[in-house]
Amino acid sequence: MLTSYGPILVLIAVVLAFAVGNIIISELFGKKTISIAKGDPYECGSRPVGGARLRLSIHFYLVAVLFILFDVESLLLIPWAVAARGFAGAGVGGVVFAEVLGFVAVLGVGLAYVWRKGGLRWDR
Amino acid sequence: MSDLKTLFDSIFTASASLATAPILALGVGLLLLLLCDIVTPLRPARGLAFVGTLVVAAILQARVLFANSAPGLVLDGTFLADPTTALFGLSFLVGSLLAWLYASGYYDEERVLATEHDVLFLAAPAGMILMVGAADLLVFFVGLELLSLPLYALAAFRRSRADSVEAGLKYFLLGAFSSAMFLFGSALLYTAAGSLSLSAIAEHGLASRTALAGIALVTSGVFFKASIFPFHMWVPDVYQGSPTPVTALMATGTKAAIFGFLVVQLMPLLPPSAAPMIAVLAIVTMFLGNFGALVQSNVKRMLAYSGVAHAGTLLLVVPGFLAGADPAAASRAALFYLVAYLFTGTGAFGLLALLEADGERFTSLDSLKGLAKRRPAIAAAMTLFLLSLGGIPATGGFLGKWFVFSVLVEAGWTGTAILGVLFSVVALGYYLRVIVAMYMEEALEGEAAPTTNRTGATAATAVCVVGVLATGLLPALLLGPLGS
Repeated sequence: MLTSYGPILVLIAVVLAFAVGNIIISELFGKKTISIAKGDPYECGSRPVGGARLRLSIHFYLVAVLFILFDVESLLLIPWAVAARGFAGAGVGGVVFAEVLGFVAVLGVGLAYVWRKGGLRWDR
Repeated sequence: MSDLKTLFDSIFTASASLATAPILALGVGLLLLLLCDIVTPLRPARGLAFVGTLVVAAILQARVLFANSAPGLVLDGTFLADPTTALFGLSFLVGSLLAWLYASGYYDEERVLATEHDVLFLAAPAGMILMVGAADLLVFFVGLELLSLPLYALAAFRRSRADSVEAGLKYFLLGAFSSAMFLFGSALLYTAAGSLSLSAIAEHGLASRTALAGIALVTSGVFFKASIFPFHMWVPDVYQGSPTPVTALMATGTKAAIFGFLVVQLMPLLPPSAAPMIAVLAIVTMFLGNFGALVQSNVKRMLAYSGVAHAGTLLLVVPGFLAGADPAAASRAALFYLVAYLFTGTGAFGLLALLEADGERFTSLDSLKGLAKRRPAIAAAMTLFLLSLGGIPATGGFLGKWFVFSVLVEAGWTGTAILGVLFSVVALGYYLRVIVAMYMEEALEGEAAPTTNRTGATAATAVCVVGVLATGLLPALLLGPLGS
C-alpha cells in the first residue's frame, strides 16, 4: 500500500537534489564579487531596515496578482492531464482535448489583453 | 474504460448543451469583446459585439423556454433549466441591455475604460443565469461570485469620486462577509448530508442541528444579498454611491437573481416552522425600507430604500409558500413581481442617470421641482415608474404586489397581507412627493434645466414604459409560457 507513495518520495528526492545541487554548483563555479548591496538580506526589493510605511510601486501588486491568476488557472491542467488519458482510452479524447484547448484559449485571450494593455510593462 | 464513456455521455447530453448555451454564449461574447478592444481595427465593433452577444444569448435562452420538453436537471443534476429559469434568464439579459443603454453617455472621464465596463456588464448576467439554475450549492456560489465580482468593480467605477469608491469598498467587504456565511453554511450542510446537491440535502432533511445551522447560514447569506433585515444596512450607501446605471442593474438584476434562486431552488428546503420568522423579517424589512425612504431628500437614496422595501414585500412569498400555498403560484408571483420591478426599477434609476448630467445635480428632490414643464416626457415616464413602484393599478407593480399578497391570502395569512398593503400605502407617500415636486412646484431660482438627451437612454426608457404597461395590462404575455 505504501508503495503508492513512491512517486512522492522520488519527487522529494529530486527537489532536494535540485536545491542542494544548485547551491553546490554555484559555490564551485560561481564568480564571487563581494559588495555591500549583495550583503543585504533579501526582502522583496524593499529595505529591510527603516520605517515600515514606504511607498511601493503599484506595479508590484499588479504583476503579483497576474502571476497568481495565471498560476492557479494553469494548475487545472495537471488534474486534467491525469484524467484525460482515461477519457482518451474511452474514445472521447478528442472532445476532452478540445475542451482544454478552449480553456487555454481563454487564458491566452486574457494574457493578450493584459499584455496589450501594458499590464506587463515594468518601466512605466 | 467504457464506464468513463458512459459517464461522459450521461453528463454531456443534448439537453445539457441546450441548457448551458446562453451562459457559454455570454462567455464567448465576453472574450470577443476583449479581443475587439486589443485589436485596433476591431475597436469600432465593440458596441456591436456587446449587443450581439446579449441578443444571441437571449435567442438561446428563448430556445430553452419554447423547447418541446424542457431540459430539466442537467450536468449530473447540478443545473436546472425549465421555463421558469428560462424566463428569469431572459429578464436578466433584457435588464443588462437596458442598464447598459442608460450607461452609454453616462460616464465622462471613465470613458477610456468603456470596454472594461461592457465586459463586466456581460459577466453579470452569466452569473445571474447560473444562480437561478443552480441545483447545487457550489454552482450557486460560482454564479454568485461571477455576478458579485463584476459588480464590486462597477460600483467603484467612477474612480475619482469618493462616494463611488466607498460604495465599491463597502459592497466588497460586506459581500465577502456574506459569501463567507454562505460558504460556512454550505460546509455544515455538506457535513450533515454528505452532498452539496440541493436534492440530496432535501432528502437528508434538516433533522440534525448541523443541517439546521447550515441552512440558516446559507439563507442568511442569501438574505444579505437580497437586502433583507438585518442585512440591509449596506444598501442605501452602495446604491447611492455607485454609478446610477450600475445601481439600476444591482437593484433589479441582482435582486431578481437572488430571489430567483431563493424561490426556485432554496425555498422548498426551508422548514415550514421558519414561516413566522421569515414573515417577521419581511415585515421589518418593509417597515425600515418604507420609513427610511420617507425621510430622504435625495431621490436616488429614496429609491434605494424603496428597493429594500420591495425586497421585503417580495419575501412574503416565502412564508406564504411554507404555510401551504401552491408552489407554482408562489414562484409565478415572484417571477412576475421581479420582471415588473425590472422594468420599473431600471426605468426609474435610468432616468435619474439621464438627469444626473454632472455630479449629483439632478438627483435631489429640490432639483426635480418643475421638471414637468421643462422636460415633460421625462417627467411623465418617471411618474409612470413611480406609480408602478407604488403599486397603482394598470402598472406591472400593482399586479406583482397583487400576486404576492394573493399567495399569502391563499395560505390563510390574511393579516400579514393586510399589513403589507398598509405599507404600500406608506410607500405611496414618498413616491407621490416626487410626482408633486415634478408637476406642482416651480423650479428653484437659478436652477438650470437639464439638457441631456441620449438616444440609448430614450430607447431604454421606451422599452421600460412598454414593459411596465404590458406587465400591468397584459400579464398573460409573461405568464403564458408558464401555463396557468
